[in-house]
Amino acid sequence: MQRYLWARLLQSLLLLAGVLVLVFWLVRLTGDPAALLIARDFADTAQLEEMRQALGLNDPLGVQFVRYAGDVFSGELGYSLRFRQPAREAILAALPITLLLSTAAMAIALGVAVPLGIWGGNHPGSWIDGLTRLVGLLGQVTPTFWLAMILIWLFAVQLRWLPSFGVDGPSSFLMPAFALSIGAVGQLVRLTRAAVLEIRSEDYIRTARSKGLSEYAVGAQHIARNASIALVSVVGIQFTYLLAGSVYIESVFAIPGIGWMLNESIRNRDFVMVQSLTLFIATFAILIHLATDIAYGVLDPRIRHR
Amino acid sequence: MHRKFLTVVVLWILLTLSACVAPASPAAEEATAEEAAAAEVAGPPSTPTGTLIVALPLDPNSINPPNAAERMAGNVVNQIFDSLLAVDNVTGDLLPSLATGWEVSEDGMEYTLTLREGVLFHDGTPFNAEDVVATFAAGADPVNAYASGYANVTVEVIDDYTVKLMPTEPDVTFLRTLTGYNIISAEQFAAEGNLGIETNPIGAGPFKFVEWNKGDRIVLQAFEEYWDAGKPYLAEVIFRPIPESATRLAAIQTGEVHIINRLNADEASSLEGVAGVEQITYPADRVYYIAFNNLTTGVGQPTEDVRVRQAMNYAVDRQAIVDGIFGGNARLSSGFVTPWNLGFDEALAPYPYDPEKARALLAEAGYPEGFSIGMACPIGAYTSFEDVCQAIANYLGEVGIAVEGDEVEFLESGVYWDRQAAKELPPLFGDSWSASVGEALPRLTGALGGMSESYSAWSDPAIDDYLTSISAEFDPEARAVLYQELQQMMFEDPPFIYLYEPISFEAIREEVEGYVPDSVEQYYLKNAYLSE
Repeated sequence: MQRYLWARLLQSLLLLAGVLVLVFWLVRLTGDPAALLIARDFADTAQLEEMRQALGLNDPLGVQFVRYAGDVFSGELGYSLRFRQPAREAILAALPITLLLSTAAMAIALGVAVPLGIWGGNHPGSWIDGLTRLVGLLGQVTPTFWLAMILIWLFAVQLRWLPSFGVDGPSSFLMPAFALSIGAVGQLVRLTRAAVLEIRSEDYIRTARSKGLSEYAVGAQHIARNASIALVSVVGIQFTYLLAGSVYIESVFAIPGIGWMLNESIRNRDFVMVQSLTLFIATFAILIHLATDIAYGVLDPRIRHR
Repeated sequence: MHRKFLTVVVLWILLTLSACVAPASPAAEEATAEEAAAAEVAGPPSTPTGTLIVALPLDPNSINPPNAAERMAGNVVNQIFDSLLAVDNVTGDLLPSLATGWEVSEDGMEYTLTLREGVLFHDGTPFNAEDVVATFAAGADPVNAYASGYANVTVEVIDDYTVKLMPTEPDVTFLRTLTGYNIISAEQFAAEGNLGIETNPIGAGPFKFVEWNKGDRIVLQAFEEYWDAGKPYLAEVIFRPIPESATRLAAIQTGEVHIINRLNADEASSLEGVAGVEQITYPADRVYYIAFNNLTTGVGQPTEDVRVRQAMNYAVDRQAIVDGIFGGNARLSSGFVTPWNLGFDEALAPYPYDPEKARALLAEAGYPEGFSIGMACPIGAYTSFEDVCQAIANYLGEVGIAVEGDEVEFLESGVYWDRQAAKELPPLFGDSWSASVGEALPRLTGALGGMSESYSAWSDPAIDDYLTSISAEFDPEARAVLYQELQQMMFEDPPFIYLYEPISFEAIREEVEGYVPDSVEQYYLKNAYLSE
């Protein structure tokens, strides 16, 4: 187990280094931030040049990279010109709201998907199984942005039940969290159903039943526990998808989290911020995968003892 | 069987959703005429009342005046700070603000301004000449990466309420530019520097700063001791950045915000007939054009011949482009001076669509079979401009001018402007240029200033002469005459394919009164109030 963890940790660090290099080069393909940062109609060449100098954009790329890597290792992540504060400070200020949003979305996804998946899986061919499969299909094919627009139109504009944008109390989170969760709902419901279907036809379930265990005990101790292994790995991955989905959802609903922040940074070619946020999200994703692997080990003895 | 079941359910859901897409009930719209009349007569309140919520399409980069990089940031700053002079957004006239009077020296190099007495900043300190000095000192500080112009003004204090401003170079629009320098408090600048102003701006404007929660809201509150007695009328102004335009459209319908701007024609028409929402439209002071190049890539090209450039102006059906792409919502350009600008020549009609004449001119110039030439346009910079460029390429093709490589070279805007600044774009390239000083001079200089201007690709000694005379003519009436002559000349010898000036659309809730944006989306909320 320990060797396994160390290997995973080393892999993660290599991955991060790769992300660092890749993002650095990619953002620089998009053009000159100075031209975007200064209102072009009023800027003259000297001003643009001054700005490039100030931003260090005239230095060789290698020098810029070393400087950026230094900022990363010091933990400061550099200074964001758009947000006019150190990148780390800006990210940490925006993070709670994104975590809240994605956690709410995950709660919705699990709350809908797990009971539905178990129920449907246990009663294949029934109407509830039909519903399960429908939710699974719709969840995975519904475009998030389309759903977000429909929700706003229906619940804000037509019914006036919910605010159309912003963060003004808990009701503000309902639509964005639901829209964000839809993909996860689809995948989790399908996965749970499939896992339950598969497990319930296993030999050990038949054995459990034949030795007289109650249906509840079979469901809770055998089916649910084994299904949760499949679920855990996907929940982790889905959580990172939710973070990525927040880039769009937060912009649609004007929620100032890190998704919105990434969008603003890209639009304004704030290199420092795009790099830092991407690196941050990558780190987060890698940590989640690590945590998933550990949780795997705890839930599945076969991995623990390998 | 299951598949059929699924299909039926999916169809059912889609049908239900589409059935919901019915127009909003018009019942609420039928306010009685009496009520409307009563609201009109009521006028502004005697004490600051109500909260106005303005949606912004983007979060401002900064609300420290010299650093406010874009118009939306400038609009927030304008409510917190006053400038020495202001502009009447209805008439376009210069108005006294923190300065009550001004005198210009013969040579236009010295501006003596009398300052208003009894003006207080939001922290209670009085306004005087030192604050003007501090404003230009703070703006010139290199930490303000976006500041422009501050360093080119020298301030001399005559007494507490008289200052002499001296631009380093003669500038006929100098008084206009003074409307853009927001006066900061010398005390705050001395104590906290630019960073202090950044986080807690203290101005002498109608509203004082309360809080800025980035990406969420900026809250301002009426300044009770504002110098313009009786104003502001609103107790509170809240700016809410909403990046997605569809969400802004929803928020104005629900009444969660009072003002939304930067709508396109489709979005504006989607609001027609919505209860409680009114539209504001105005032509923007922004000219779209296809530029020619006679400095680098265009040297030796057919476009050096004036007849070819005229032919290309005749070849393009501007009206069809505007109708087809903007639903008719743009003004056809006759030149580089817009109706908002000093010296606009109303008599000058845009080039008519006349492909026959275009072909004749091309033949006369020695290109009866036409020719091929490179053309580029930016992507993602301007509304539907990609379609416009494509249409122009087609029109040019109809008179025999083929775009090299059979297609317009579309470039991402950042890359595009880099190449434009390096003068590496093909001999035909599309762009647009706005103006904010009520005159076309900066636009003319910027686009036609030859090698010395970043974004210019054209040089013509005759135009240079006019620009030199205009820049040295301090009498507005004489300047207007020069502008008219230049327009005539630039019509006959066009350095551009002139295109159009777009119409701006905004929407407000019907209870909003006294909100008047100018041709560059600038507004002053001290005149605004909510009826009811």
